[in-house]
Amino acid sequence: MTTNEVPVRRILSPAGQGKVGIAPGDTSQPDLVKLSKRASQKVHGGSSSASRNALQRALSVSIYALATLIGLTAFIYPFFTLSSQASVSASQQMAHGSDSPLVLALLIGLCLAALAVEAQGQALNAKLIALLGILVAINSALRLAEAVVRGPGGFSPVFMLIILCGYVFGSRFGFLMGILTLLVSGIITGGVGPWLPYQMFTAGWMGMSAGWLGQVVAMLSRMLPKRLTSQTSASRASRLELGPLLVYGVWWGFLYGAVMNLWFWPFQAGDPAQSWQAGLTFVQGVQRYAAFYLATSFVWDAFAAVGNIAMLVLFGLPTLKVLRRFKDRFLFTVDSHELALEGT
Amino acid sequence: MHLRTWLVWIASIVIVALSTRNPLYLALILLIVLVVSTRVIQVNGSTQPAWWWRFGLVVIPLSAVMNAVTVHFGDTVLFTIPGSIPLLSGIVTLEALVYGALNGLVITVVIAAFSVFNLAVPAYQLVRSTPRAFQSMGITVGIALSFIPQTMRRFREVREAQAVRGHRVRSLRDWLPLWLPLLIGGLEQSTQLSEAMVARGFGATQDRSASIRTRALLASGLGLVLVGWLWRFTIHLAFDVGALIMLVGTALVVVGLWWSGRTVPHTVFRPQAFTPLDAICLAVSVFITLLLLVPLSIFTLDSVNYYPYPALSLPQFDPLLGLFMLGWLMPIVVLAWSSHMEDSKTKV
Repeated sequence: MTTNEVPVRRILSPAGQGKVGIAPGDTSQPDLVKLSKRASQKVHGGSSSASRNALQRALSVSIYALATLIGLTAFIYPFFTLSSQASVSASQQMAHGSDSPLVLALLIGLCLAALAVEAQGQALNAKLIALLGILVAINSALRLAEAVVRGPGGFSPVFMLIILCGYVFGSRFGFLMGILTLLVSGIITGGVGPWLPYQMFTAGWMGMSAGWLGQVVAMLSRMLPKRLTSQTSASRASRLELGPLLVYGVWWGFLYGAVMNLWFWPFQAGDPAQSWQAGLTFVQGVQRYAAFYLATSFVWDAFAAVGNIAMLVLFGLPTLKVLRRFKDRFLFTVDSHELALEGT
Repeated sequence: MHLRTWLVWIASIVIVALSTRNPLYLALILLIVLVVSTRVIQVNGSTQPAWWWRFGLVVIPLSAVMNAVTVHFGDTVLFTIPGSIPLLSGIVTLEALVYGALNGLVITVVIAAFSVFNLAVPAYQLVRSTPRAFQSMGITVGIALSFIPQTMRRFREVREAQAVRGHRVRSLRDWLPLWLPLLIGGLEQSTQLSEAMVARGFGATQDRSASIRTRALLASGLGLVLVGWLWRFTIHLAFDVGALIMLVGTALVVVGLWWSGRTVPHTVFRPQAFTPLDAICLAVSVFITLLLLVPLSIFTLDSVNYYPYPALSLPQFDPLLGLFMLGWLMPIVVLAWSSHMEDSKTKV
């Protein structure tokens, strides 16, 4: 909202959507938002303000979509490199094959920067910065403890909070939680290295997609029969909610390892049946990577997946309850400028 | 030493280490890193020992064995793994063993270089150097770093309080009474912190969400990068059009980030000085990298491009290149000079 906007009292969620503190379906105070919209249209010429908002939203969505797409292609490029068409000479294939890892690293950094700027601009105010900072501190302390007392295989306690924060607070918050947890814990455990941007990006995806899972589950829960969502069945409904989270935890237990392998797999020297080579077709690339993953990472990642299940089963529901209790205290903003102008 | 100098120094070492498999040069780089690491520990008075050598002791033999038993290539056959075990059965060669060990050595050098960076650069310096475009994230990282000790202290308090009440941790389930008070306490603390931030005027002066111009720059830049990236893999011309498009896209994103940071006021209470010695150290690092990567007529880089396959040969060592590599010891000079200057100030 610009500084020249309307003198209207308005209580908003951070994204400027809906109102907080008014229960859904509560018709006693609908005027706040309506009044705000009416007055805003009156001053800004209505349609121009709306089109401006629509443009902002379209640009924001396109930044997320493009950065995610580039990150995705950068990670899976070994499967698409140079689909070895007959028209491409071997020297050209080798040239692109050798410079791809460097380009990939630059692309990951670029996407991470663009996404971070977009996410922090939209999602963060003083309350959320403090909340995020403290949650990242708690999660980083967990990783510090993990660095001292190693868990079995790829088990790590930090993924639970990234998943649950994304699930409760939304995809932007989840993304920031993922990247900042890995960044801060990397700094305190001496884990800053060439692998860090990839870890941050992957953990960011984990948190971001947890936000989407939260939306899907919320949508599905609205479609459930009322008897299931009534007060008496609330605990049953929340237990039902654990199902998708467990599936998600298992999925990311394996996916995190599989994605993280991709950044160094093209450099890895080893059995030709498991190694990347310029000029492979997509199917050959996937076959070789699958052989490499099964031989080197599957068991390791299985511990991560089982660890996620254990953490979510034991701590998931109580943690969700706590995070939701605090969500309403954090996810609102009072437009102080409008409040100030209201008095004039 | 200035953060920028450390970054260039570490980038130089990592780039060179990744581009050679000559064990003599790699050993020399490792030795240089060890010397710099020792000096950094002395200057910082750090009690944290260098741990990377333990990492190397595990990774080098492991990598050698893994490569030897899975890559059945090379002229010098040591023995044969009989049968038809997938991946493993076949000849085990000396060349594969050496190549695996060299890969482990490269990884150890990279880890060692980053461990020096982690020892030398304090966290606050990293946070302070956060670009202005990432102001909110910088503040969040600063909060997180500051609150980690408090979080650990609070955990100890919770554990003691629960222990007094008879709680014992016997299984994973027993962590719940420790976890929930820790989480709730942290969230309560964040409420107080945000109130303190607002009371001090945080966020009162500006709307931090990105402007249409910034977003348009970022979106168009990312779009061009994607187009260029896909172009490179689909259309192959003599002139690399895809790279050019990617370059333009990258420039637009960088401009977008710069534009986003322009509106953020940033002041530093005590700016870190970039001394002439820093500049020399930085220039030396860049010089060594270029010397070892760019083919020049005065040097032959054959010794850098060592490859043990198909028949193992002794690696060559160019004494002149080795001499130039000693330039990476420059941080010792800078650190010694900084210590000397600080001592002089203290005496005055």
